[in-house]
Amino acid sequence: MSRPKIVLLVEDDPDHAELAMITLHDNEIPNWVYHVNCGEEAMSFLRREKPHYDKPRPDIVLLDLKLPRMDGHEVLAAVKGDEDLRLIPVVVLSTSASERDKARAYALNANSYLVKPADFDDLRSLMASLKLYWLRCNQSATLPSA
Amino acid sequence: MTERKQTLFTAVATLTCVSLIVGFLSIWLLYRAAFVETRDWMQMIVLGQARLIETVAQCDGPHRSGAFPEVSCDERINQLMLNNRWQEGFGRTGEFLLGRQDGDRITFLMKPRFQIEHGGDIADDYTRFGSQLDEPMRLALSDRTGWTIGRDYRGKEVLAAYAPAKSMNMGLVAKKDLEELRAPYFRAAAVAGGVVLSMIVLGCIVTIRISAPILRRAADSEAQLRAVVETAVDGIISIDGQGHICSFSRGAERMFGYARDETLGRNVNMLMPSPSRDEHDSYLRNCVWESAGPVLMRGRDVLGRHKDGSEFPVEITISMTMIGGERMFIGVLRDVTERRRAEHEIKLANEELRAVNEELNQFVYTASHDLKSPLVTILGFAGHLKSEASRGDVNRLQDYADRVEAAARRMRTNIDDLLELSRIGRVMNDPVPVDVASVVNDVLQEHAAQLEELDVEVIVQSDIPHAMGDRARVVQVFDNLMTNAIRYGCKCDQPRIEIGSDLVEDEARFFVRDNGEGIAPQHHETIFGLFQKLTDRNGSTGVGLAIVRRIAEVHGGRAWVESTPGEGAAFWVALPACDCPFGPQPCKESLAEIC
Repeated sequence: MSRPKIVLLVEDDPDHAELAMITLHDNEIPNWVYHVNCGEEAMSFLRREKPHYDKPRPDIVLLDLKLPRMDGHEVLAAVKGDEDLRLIPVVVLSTSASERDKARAYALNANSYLVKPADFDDLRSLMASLKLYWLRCNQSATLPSA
Repeated sequence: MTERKQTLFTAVATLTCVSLIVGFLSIWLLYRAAFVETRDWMQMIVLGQARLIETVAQCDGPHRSGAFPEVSCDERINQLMLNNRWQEGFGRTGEFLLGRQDGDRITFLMKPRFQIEHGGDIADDYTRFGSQLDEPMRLALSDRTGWTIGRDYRGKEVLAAYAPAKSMNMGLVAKKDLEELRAPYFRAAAVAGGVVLSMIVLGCIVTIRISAPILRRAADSEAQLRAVVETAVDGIISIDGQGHICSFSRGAERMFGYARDETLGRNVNMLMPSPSRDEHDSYLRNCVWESAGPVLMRGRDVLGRHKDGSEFPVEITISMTMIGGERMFIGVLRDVTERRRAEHEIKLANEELRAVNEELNQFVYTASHDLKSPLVTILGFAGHLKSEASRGDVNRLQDYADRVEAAARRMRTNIDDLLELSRIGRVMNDPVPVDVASVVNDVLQEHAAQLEELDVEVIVQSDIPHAMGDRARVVQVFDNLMTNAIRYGCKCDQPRIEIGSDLVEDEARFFVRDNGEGIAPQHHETIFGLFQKLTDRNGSTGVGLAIVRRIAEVHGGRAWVESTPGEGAAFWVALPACDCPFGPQPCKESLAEIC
């Protein structure tokens, strides 16, 4: 088996973070989930600034939109605007199904947009699909090292 | 109608006078011609006869002393008189007379026609030389030649020609009665006058007969037209090519406040405000020269000027027509004050509706997210709870149940906040002067315990003005601002909260300032949104500032923040100012009544 995939979960609601982490945990598709609860921290994690200088580069970012101060769209814009970080797939995971939010996310080059289902079974199958596709099927790319 | 009669009468009178004058003038001229002709003719006869007598006399002169002195002159003259005795060619009253003076008497050598026809003698008076009668003969016997109008031996006025026959000591007169000379012309005048008058009377009757129905139809149609114009609600004004008002309908009277008589003949620009007032004349001139079609202007909005000087919006349609070869402009005007006002109101209402709609959209968006978020938690953990319970794994059940409960509570709070927010717009008491200083005091007392606990220095400005509002709502504003200041602004070594105000024009502005960490400029607007929080500290629902702004807005005021990160934040609320902002005596009394 290859190395476990690294997931960065950006979520301000601790309950939602817990739910995501419970459903992401899987023996078949091993993954490590790092959880940060605001946009600023997510950026410092990705840029490996203090106190995250020893953190790995994530294979995928799961991003909530509604965050205090720097919101999800701003994080998305910052990631996709960063030469070094833009290749990391960003999957938006939000409670909002509004057209405006979706359009804005895709306009900012989000790689996928998922709406958190309220129903538990739906949530579980959504997370199973997410793992299967983004953590197993999807091939990520890295910049050719200089 | 009387006007028409008067016109008719004048026309008939003029016609009659002219006809009579022309008739009489021509008759008089004819008479003059006949008079002159008769006069000259009679003079010719008299002179001719006189010459003849003279000739005879001269001829006889040598003979008198000759062989036959008796058969001389007198005999010839008798002959002559005999030849003339029937007075042929002299008409009815004309006659030829030969007279001689005997002492103071005039002797007619020929029996006068009058005597022949009527018999009898001529009165003594008639023939006396010194009398006033028989003027022509007297003139002839005075050795004069000529013509005259005078009395003859009968005392009748005659036209006479006279000449003397000197050598015979005789006078010759040819005369004719003026009466006879004039009679045909008097007759002609009478006949002509009668004919003219009867022709005129007949003409009048015929004209009236023929024209009456036409005139009546014209009058009816004019009355109809006038009724249409006069009863129209729109004002109808016509002007000539120079801009002078020719007609002014009742509708226009009502609209502009001028009576018809005040406007007729005046320049139409009296009904316009500047600057169209000054431009109209040149505009009209250009218009006259470049007229394109019958309707020059359709439904254009212009400004009218009422007699009292006020201006009002008018929708005007102008057409041009030719009347008697003159250009005439007809304007139909409609006062659109009401319509404009209604349109303005509709526009305002629409804008408000759009704003409310936008607000509602934002509200639904935010509310759906924030209500859904705890729902995801509740259903998610409930699912886990069930699946773990069914597996008999009880380690995390308590934790899951707690999370479910907390999420449910959060949801309830959210719903309460939403209801509160919607209540602000719906339920509000009429604004009254509110003593904001006392409100601040109440709120400070409410938070006294917390303030003491955090050791916060509180500074309240002394001259806080009154403002117009609903006191309970104003309390809510300061309560929220104070809660925020304590929660977010007092995380420093020496926390300080300052409350003050500023009176700018008709706005009473109040602020609550802290010396906390401050707010970045990009969040100055977002923090007033529903469920917006900059931190995830517990106890905050992110609805406080939304409520503050909503209350300010329903009072017709506003709410905003001034802050530099690291230097604290000042939250401002502006409410309508009170007439007596610092509460003079009467104001305080009324306040006391209200509160």
